Amino acid sequence: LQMSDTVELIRVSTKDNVEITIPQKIAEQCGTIRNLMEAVGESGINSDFVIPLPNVTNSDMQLILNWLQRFPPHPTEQEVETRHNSDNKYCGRTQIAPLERRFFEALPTTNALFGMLNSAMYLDIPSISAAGSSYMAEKIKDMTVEEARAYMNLPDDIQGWEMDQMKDDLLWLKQDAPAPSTE
Amino acid sequence: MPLLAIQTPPPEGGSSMTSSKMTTPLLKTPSLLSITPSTAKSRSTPQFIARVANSMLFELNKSQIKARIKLGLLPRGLTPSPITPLLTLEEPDEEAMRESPRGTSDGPPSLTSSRRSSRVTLKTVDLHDYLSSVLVSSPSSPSLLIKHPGKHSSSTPNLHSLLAASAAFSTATRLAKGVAALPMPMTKLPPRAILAILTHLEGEDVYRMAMTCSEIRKIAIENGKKLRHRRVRSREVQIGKDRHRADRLIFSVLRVPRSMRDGIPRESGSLEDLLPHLVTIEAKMTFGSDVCVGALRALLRRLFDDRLLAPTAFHFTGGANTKGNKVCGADLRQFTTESFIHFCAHFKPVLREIQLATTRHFRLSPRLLSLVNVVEELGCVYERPALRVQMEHLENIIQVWRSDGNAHSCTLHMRRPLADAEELEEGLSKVVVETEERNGEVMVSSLTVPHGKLHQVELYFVFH
Repeated sequence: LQMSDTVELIRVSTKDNVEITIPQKIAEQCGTIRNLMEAVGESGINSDFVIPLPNVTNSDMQLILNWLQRFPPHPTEQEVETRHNSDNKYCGRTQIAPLERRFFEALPTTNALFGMLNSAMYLDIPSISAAGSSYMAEKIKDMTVEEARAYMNLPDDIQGWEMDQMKDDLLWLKQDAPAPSTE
Repeated sequence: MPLLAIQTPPPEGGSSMTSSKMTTPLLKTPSLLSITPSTAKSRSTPQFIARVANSMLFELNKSQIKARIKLGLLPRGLTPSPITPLLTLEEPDEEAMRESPRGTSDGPPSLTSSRRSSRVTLKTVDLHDYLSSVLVSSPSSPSLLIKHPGKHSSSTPNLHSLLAASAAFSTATRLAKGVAALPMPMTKLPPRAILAILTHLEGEDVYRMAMTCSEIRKIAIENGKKLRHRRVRSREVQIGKDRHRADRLIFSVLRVPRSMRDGIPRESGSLEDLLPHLVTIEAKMTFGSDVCVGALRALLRRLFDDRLLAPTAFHFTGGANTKGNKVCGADLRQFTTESFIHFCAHFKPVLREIQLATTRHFRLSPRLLSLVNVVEELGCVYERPALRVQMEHLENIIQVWRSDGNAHSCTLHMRRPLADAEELEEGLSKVVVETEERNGEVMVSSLTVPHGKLHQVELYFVFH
C-alpha cells in the first residue's frame, strides 16, 4: 500500500472508546488494520480517519504496541536445533526468543496474556500469535491436568460417559511397558 | 491497580474536597471523587463488593434521595420545559432533612460517617455522562475503597457528591455481578489460538491438556491430524473371525509382552472403538485365517492417516493349517502384486516387516521382492505355487536397490533361487554366498549383498 508521506500516523479507537495514535509502520504490521486501510484506499485516509477496533481493549493495545516497538519484524532464519543452546527449555528446541519470553513473563496476570493473545489474533499479528502460543505451551508443558486447569482458568466440565472413557483409556494406557522414547 | 481515575473539578465554596488522583490516562471526563482500590486483602472480593453496594444503597435510602429517571416525567411544581431533562433538581425540604439514627452498619466506617437525609431530585443533569465514566478497566483488582472528600456540612448536600454516590453504587453493583466472570478462562480465546498452543506441545502434553475441559478436548480431537499424538508401542493388534458369526471380524488389542495381570483384553467388532483419541498405537498386526484383508484396506489407510494406528508389521497367518489342496489363511486374493506393494508402501516408513504365511494369496511374482525398498524384513512361506526366483530377477532387484541413495538393510526369507552358488557368485557382483549340505547335496543357504555406497547396508537372503 503506497501511502502519501504526509499520512504517517494512524488513529485507532479501541473497544473502550480510547483513541490511540500510532505510527503507520507499526499499524501496518497488523493484518487487520492493513487490510482495512487498503480497503479504504489512500483517498479515504485523512486526519479524521479513525479505525475502529471493537474487539481490542486499550490495555491489550498498549501491550501489543509495546511488543511491536520492541520486536520489529525481520526475516528470521530457521533456527538450528541444538542441545547446547543455553536457552533450551523445551525438548531441545528454542521455540521462543529469550527477550520475547521475558516480555511475556513480565505480564502481570494470565488475563493480560490471554487478552493480548486474543487481540493479536483479531489484529492478525503472526509474530505475537506464534510467540504467545509457544510461550503458553512452554508454561503448560509440565503441568498436571489440575495445574493446567487452574492456570488456564478452565472449568472441570468433562463428565459422564466421556470421563468414564478417558479413565478407562488412562488405565489401559498405564499398563504399558517402560515408557518408549518420544520422537 | 486502580480501578478508575477521574479528574475532580476545582472545589467551589467552602467544601474541602480533595482532588482525586489521576491513576490511569484512560478517562479524562470531569469527575466527582476518586475511587481507588484498597490494598490487597485476603477477604473475599465478592462479599466485600456486595457489602459496599449494600452500604451505598442504605445511605441513599436513608438520605431519601429520590431520583427521577423517567423520560417525559416532569417534576412536581416545575413548568414544562422544551428540553425534557432526565432529572430535575429542587430545593431540599427542611422537614425531610433529618438525621436518621444510624442503623447497623455493614460497610466500611467511612461510608456511614455521613448522616444526612435530603430529598433531592436532580435537574438537567445527564447522569449518563457520570455513570458512563465509571468503567471497569482492570478486572483483576475489583476491590474498592470509596473515599469521601471529607466531612460534609450539614447544609444542602453537594450535587456532585450525591452523583458520585450514585455512580459508585452503580459501579459496585456492576462489579458484584461481573466479579464471577473473573478471571478470563483460556476457552475465551478463539479456537485457532487454542489449536496454535496445542500444536507446540508433545503428544503426552496434548493428551493431558485434552483432559482439562470439554472445549479443549473437542478442539484437540477435531484437529487430531495437526497435533502430535501420544505414542504407544507396547501393543499388538489381532484380527480374526468371530466364532459365532461368520460375517463378523473381531479386533483385539493386546499388550506386549503379555502377563497374567493384563486382565481382559480389549475386543470389539470395530477397530476404531479400540483406539483412544490422540494416541498413536504402533503395533504389529496379525491377520488370522479367513480374514479378508482387501476389505480392510481403506480402514487401515484412514486410521494411519488419522495417526491413530501405525502398523509396524503385517503378519498374514493361517497357512500352516493348509491340508491338501484346500487353501487356508488370511485372504489376500483381492490384491495383485502391484496393488499389494502399493498398499504396503502407504505405511512407509513405519511398516518394517511383512510375513506372508498364507496360502490364500494373489499370484506371486518375483516383482514382490521390490518390497525390500519398503520394509526391513520380508518373509514368504507356504505360498502356492512356490515363488521361484531366477538369476535375472535377483539382478534387477539388487540393481534397483543399489541405485537408491536412501536404501536400507533388509532380510528376506524365501525359497531357494533357481541358481547354484557358483552362478550367484559369478552373476552377482560383490556378494557373499553361503552354502550347506543336505542329503549329500550342496545348497545355497544364504546370500549377502552389500550396498557398496552405503556403509553397513546390505540385503540378506535366507533361503529355505
